[in-house]
Amino acid sequence: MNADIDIEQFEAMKSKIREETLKAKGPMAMALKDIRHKIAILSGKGGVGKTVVTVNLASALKKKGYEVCIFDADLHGPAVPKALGLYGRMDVASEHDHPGHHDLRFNPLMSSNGIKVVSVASMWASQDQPIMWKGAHKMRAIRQLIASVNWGKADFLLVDLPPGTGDEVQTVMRSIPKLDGMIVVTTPQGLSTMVCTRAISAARELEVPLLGLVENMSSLKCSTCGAEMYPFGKGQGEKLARLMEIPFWGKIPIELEMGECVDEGVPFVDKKPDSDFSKAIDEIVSKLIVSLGDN
Amino acid sequence: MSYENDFIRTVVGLGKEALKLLYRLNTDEITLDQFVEGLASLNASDVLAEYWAYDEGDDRVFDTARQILWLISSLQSDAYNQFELYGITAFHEDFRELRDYLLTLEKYCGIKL
Repeated sequence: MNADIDIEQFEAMKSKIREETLKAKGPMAMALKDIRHKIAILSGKGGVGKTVVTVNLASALKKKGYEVCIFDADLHGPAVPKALGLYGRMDVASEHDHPGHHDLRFNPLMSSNGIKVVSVASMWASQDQPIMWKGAHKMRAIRQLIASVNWGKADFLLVDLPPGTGDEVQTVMRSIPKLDGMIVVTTPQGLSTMVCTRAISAARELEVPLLGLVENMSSLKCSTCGAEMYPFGKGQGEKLARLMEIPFWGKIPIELEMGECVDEGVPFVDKKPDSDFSKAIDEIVSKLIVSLGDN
Repeated sequence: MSYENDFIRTVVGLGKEALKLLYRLNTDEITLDQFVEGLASLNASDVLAEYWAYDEGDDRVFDTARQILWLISSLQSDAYNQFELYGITAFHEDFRELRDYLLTLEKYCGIKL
């Protein structure tokens, strides 16, 4: 027996032990075993543009050569598939890994720029199908959905959380193994920062690292004279970051064509790569990569 | 939508069986092990996988039927975890939810359960 075979055997043993350890940690750890970084996008208040930020962060990461997946954890108002132009349904298969045990396996949808997406919006045929899931079922659905997906190898999993600190948010914070941390999205509005404080406190309570805070919809440039306007106020995001001791990662401006882009299912960073919005997202991505020690 | 449709008939049968199991669990007639065994014997995930792409008719009806199968399948795979985290009361909610789905099918398909 030569030394090379010994190394091969050793590697096979190591991988078998790793597999068994993961199995012991549960199906979610097994499903996510080949994803290097898991990041959740959090905000306290609804309507601050979390989904737009998530989708554009994913696209910017993809442009840098990373493999990216998105899990849309907003069970009652899933919007990620639409924002990426995905209207189909995920494929599913039933697996029998041991007698008496049946397991569903979902294949994520793939956007035109190669981002894998999993969302409850891609489970049902009818766009009008209401999701009436309650407490325990919601938490079970999130756990089961994450665990049942063939995620494959990826550098990033971005989890788009619903607003608030309800069942879905807590389940993600508690159940995703080795969650790297959260990115907090707020707007310059006093109301948004106030509600955001609660979400930040919830993350702290559950000992989830807060990687950075971004202020979305921070300013609007007049298309005629170029003057900056601040329809939602000024500086509240930075102030909140300082107050809560979270790194401030930047301000994302409002773009007038954003609504059109979302409806078309094209991420803004892909449509207008030279815009102020895209530059802000690029800067946030750079900070994210540095904070994960990935540069 | 006709109740004679194979898929709907199968789902109504499975849904009623799962509802009975939930009732018996909630009234302490069976143990959690027996409950999970009972759900496993229904093979809901196999039926869901088989009919996942089935779309010959009213989407609302098939989606409701698929939601019933999803509920049974997720209950089967996560029952122990759910019991450990939230206790037996969480299964009361599942009973009500499954009953509501079956009633919705009853309404859509004009059937008497």
